[in-house]
Parts: sequence; C-alpha cells; structure tokens
Amino acid sequence: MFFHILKYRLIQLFHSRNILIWIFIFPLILGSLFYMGFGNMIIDNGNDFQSIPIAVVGQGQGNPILDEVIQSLSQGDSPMFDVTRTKEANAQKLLQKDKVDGILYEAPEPYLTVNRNDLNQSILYSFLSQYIQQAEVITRIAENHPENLEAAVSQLRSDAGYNKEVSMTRSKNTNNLTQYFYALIAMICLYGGQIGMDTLITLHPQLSSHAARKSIAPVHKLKMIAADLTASVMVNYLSVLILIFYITQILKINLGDRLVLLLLASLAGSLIGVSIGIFFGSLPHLESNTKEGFLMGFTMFCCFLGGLIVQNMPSIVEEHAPVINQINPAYLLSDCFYVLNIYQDTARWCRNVISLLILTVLFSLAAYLLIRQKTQGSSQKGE
Amino acid sequence: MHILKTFFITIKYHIAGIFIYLGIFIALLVFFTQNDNGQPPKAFTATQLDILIQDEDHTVLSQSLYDFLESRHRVEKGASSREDVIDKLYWHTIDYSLRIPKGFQADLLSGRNKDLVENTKLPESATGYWADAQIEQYLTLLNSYLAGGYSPEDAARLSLETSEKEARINMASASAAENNSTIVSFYHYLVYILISLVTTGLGQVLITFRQRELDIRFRCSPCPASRRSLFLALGGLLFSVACWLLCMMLGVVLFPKSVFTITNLLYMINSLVFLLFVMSLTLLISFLTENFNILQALTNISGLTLSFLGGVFVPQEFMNETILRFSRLLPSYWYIKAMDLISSSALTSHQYQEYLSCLGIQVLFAAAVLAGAMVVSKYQKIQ
Repeated sequence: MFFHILKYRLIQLFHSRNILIWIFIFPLILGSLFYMGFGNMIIDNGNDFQSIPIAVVGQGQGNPILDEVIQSLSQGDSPMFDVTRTKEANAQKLLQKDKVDGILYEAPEPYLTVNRNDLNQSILYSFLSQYIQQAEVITRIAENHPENLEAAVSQLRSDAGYNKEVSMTRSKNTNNLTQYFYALIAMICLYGGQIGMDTLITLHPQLSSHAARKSIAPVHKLKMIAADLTASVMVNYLSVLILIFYITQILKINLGDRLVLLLLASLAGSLIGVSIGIFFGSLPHLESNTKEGFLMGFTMFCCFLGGLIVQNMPSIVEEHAPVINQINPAYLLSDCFYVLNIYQDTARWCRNVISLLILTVLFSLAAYLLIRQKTQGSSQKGE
Repeated sequence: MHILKTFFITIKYHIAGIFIYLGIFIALLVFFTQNDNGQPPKAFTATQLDILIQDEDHTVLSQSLYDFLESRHRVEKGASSREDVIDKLYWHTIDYSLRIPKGFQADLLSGRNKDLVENTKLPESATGYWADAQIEQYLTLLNSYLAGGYSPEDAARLSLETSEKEARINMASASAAENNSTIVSFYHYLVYILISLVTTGLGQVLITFRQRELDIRFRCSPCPASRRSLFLALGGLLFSVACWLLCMMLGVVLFPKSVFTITNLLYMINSLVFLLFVMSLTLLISFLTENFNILQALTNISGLTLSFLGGVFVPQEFMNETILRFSRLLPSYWYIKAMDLISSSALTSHQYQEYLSCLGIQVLFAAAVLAGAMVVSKYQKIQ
C-alpha cells in the first residue's frame, strides 16, 4: 500500500503545472540567465589580471631606458601592458573613449594622464613611480656610498622573488559569482516547501476535501503520511539533481569534484525545504493563499540573505549578525557547496549538514505540535 | 467611472505584492548607492586594497614593510585562522593576506632574498598582482639600501622616503559614465522593477476582469464592451504611469543633485518609452494565463530574461558576443544602449540620432507585442 500511495502522489505532483513551472523549469531558466548574463566574467573570472591597455606618446628625444622596460613588459604570454604608440591627439581620443586606461608620456621626465581612479590606473602609476624611485636609490647611493653602488644596482636589477604565494584553497575556482549558482540550488531545495505545503493540505482533513476523502480510507495514517512525504522529497530532490546536472554538465560551472557530498547536502536541502513547507502549511487560522505568501516570503528572504540577489550578502550578515547565518537554511546550503569547492577539509560541511538536519527536525516537530493542537481543538469543539 | 473605480479597488486588493517589489527596488538602490558620494574625482588617488598582515618578526625591517603598506592601503593587523583568510578573500573583504615570518630581517641581512614573506590571494587576481608588485618593489628598495651599506634603521627610513617619490599624474576630465554611476544604476534596475510592478499589479487586474463570471455579469450590464475596454485601458495607463512616477520620485529623493539635468531628462524619456513596452507585455501575459501563480512565474521569467540579457544587471561590455547578438531582439537591449549613449559623453548630433533610433525601436517592440496580444485575444475569443 505504501508504494501504491507513493506512486499516485508522484503522479499527482507531476500533474501540477504550478510545481512543474516553479520547481523544474524556473531554476533552469534562472541558471541559464545567470550564465548568459554574467557572460565572460563567470568563465574567465572577472577579477583575473588582464593586460593594461596604454597609449605611449614619445616626446623629444624619447627615453630609451623606459622604452626598453615597456617593450619587455608588453611581450610574453601574459604581458603587463598592451601598448599603442601614437601621437598625443589620438592618445587623448583613445582615453576619452576608454580604449586605453592611461597615456604615458615618455620624455623628458615620464608622466601619466588617466581619466579615472581604478585598479589599472593604480598599477600604471605604481609602475612609473618604481622607475623614478630606482633612479633615486642610485643617485643617493652614488652620493653617499659609491663603493657599494654596483652591489645596490645588482639588487635593483635582480628578479629576486621575495614574496612566496601560499595557496590555501582546494580548487582554482575562487570566482565568487559561483555563489549565485550555490544560492540557486539552495533556493530550489527550499522551493520544496511548496510541495511540502501542498502535501500537508492533501493530508489534513480540515484543509481540503481531498484530504477528508483520504482520511476515511482504511490505510494506516503513518503509512499514508510517510508515502506522501517521501514523494514530496523525491520530486524536490529530482528537480535539484536535474539542476545540478544542468549547471555542471551543460553550463560547465565548476562546483568541485566531491559529487557524493554535494548530493548529500542537496538531499538535506530537500528535507529542510519540505519540512519548512509542512510547518507553514500547519499554521493555524490562515487562508491557504496567505500561508503560500508567508512561505514564499520566508523562502525568498532566506535566499536573499544567502546571496541569491547580492552575492556577498552572506559575508555582510556574517560580519553583523553571524547567528542569522547559522539558522538560515539557504546560507547553510550554499555554504556547504562553497566549502566543498574551496576547502580541503570537510568539518564545516559536516557542521552545516548537521545544522540543516536539526532545523528539519525542529520544523517538523513544530508542525506536528500545531496540527495536533488543531486536531485536539477541533475534537473538543466536536464534543 | 464604475469600471475605473472597480479597477483601482482590485489594484488595492493586490497592493501587498506591488509593495514587495518596490521594497526590493529600494533595498537594492540603497545598498548599491550607500558608498557613492556621486561626485566625480578631481585628482588621482591610487586604489586602496584591503590587506591582512601578520607580522611574526617584529623587527625594524618588518615594521618598515608594514608602514609602507599601511601608508597606501587599508591594513588589518593580527593573526587570522586559515578558514578566516580563505573566507575573507573569497568574499573580497580583504584582497590580500601577507605573513612576515620570524627571521625575516635576519634573512634579509644575511643576503638571502628568496621567499622571505608569504602571501595568499585569489589565484591570478589583478589586486593580488598589484599587491605582489608593490611588496616586491619595496623589498627591492630596502635590499638595495642594505646592499648600498646602510644600517637597517637607515635603510628602513630611506626606503619609506624613496617610496614617497612618485610619478607625475594628471587627471583628465572623468567620463560622464563615472560621474553618474549611481543614477545610471538606478535607471538600469528600473527595467526589472517596472516589469515587476506593472505586470504584477496590472496583470492581476486584467486577469480578474476576464474571469468568466465577472465577464458574464459585465456583458449583461448596460455598459458596452468598448466602454469597458476604454476604461480598462485608461486604468492601465494611469496605474502604469503612477508606478513610473513613484520610481521617479524615489530618484528625486535619492539623487537630488542629478535630477534636474538634461541627461536625466533623456533618461526619463527613455524609461517612459520602455514603459509602453511593459504595458504591452503585461497585456500579452494576461492573455496567456488565468492563474495568478502562473502570472507570477511569467512575470519573473520575463523580467529576469529582459534584465539579464539586456545588460541591466551586468554591463553589455562584459557580455558574451553571441548572447549580445540575441539580445538585440529584446527591447531592454535598446533601452540600455540608449542609456549608454547618454551616459558615455556629451551627445553629438549623430549620437542623438542614434538615441532616437533606440527609442523608436522600443516603440516598435511595444507595437509588435501589442499586436501579438490582440492576436492571442482574438484566438481566445474564437476558442
């Protein structure tokens, strides 16, 4: 009988246009929009260093040393500069149209013209300052310690490598735009709430005629509840699996290589999603439209705090009210995905999954108490 | 007038949904504009990074490196856990983490110049690249003075002095785009909000008026169908313009200095033309469904599609070429293109013509969608 109820509940859920649109189609569309909208930034990582386009204007006799330095920095696989040598009038036009980040005037003393305060302009400024500072070092040492000039110049010219990079992350995908995809998966897990609420309505005799009919069927109540809830989690989890497949295989977004842990976290997500729906469905004295409104508002608020609209929102919340992150299921889920991709160890993933399971139990327990209270109240009234 | 009155009573019934979207818009605007003073930069100031420094050496030279970075960037001092550093880098709370290990000064004095300090940054990030270059540059200065025969104290002092010698830099007049970045963002987000507000509010009223029982009641009333359509259109127009005016008033409150300018007038005309398209779209969507949930889904999908693919959330310059070619089939693309024309520089007569073409294309889109809505309506009547 369990499988019979399960089968028909699944058929019923797959016939719901509302569920099909919101749970199966909407996330795929939103994922595609994220992918297309972020364009090259999601593929190349918008923060990666790109060659800085500059216009170089030679004046007077030119500056052979600076020329040589610029030449060497504009060659190779990932050059520092993308140089356009041109006349001043054209350089000004290029700057005005934002085709170059700055104009470098070579002689007699090199200087720059830029039109905004951005990182590339700062790098350019720093480069030219370095050139001036090294000249200053040589002059000073030549004046005060001429015997050590050679040693100092060799230090200036050496490519020492004082600064060593230490990688702390597991994956090279540290593009925080991926957060939008983590938050999207979290949102779909929480959309399981709609199925959960629908399930409660079809189970509770006071909420629908369908449930009233079911309640007089000669089937053990627990079996019926277990079958309906299993179907809800299955449908939601299926939508999450389709979304993960779409994101990783079709859109080729790197969500890391710990697939099993990713799927386990998503399952915990489906469980919390359905339990939240059951909780909101069991709220007393409210119309079903109002309950749906509350559920949607709660889900979207959690997702907003979890980084669905502004991707660094979790970090802002963590700074000002970290406790909210610890009870926000959307954050806990997206953090699970983030941890799997970035961290070497899984301790934080475990903490998050345990928190999700505790929240699932709490929401289910609260729903149980609310329904029980209502049923007792109704039976007392009946008496 | 009864129809108009009923129209607004129905709007009042759905007002909560409208205010939710308005709330999201205000929250986004406040969030994105809080750090912008709206003033164009007058002089060049180098970009400041957020750097976390862990000094374990506590010597004259390590302090010198710290002082150098502190004079240029926002520095946070002290130990941080590995987890903390990764999170802060990922969320861009810090751009760079530097560890000066014990023995740094001793190593430098002994002539060792490889891997003296350790850094962690986002792989291949531009900010990391710049911080690396500055640290390398400063340690080269320090080492050159030491090689030149100066004591650590003198080398530290002279390096700091030398690092203050900087190149001459001129600031050309900033581009208009930078001057008006916040008000440009305001008009960008307006696309999504106008679609959400008008489609949610007006769409629900149109669906309500088309409900079978209400329709039958109207038909047997002495009010002719043409009069009903006329008043519905008038109500729709009033409601849409009211939504637009509400957003404009918000603009006046948020950007009082930028409102009364020719540029802003051109922005306003552009958004008003886009409103025509939104009204046509609402009419079309209202003919596609009678279910409020599906209307909500269609509203979200169309709003997000037009916003993401038109370049509302992400600038068109960052979008993929293929996607941009497709985007030309969307009115939001032409809306943003008109915005870019206005904000890029003072309009030449050619650019002004181009701006008018963008408005014309949006009107054509509005007409085409309206025609589509009429066809769907005719088809439904035949059905």
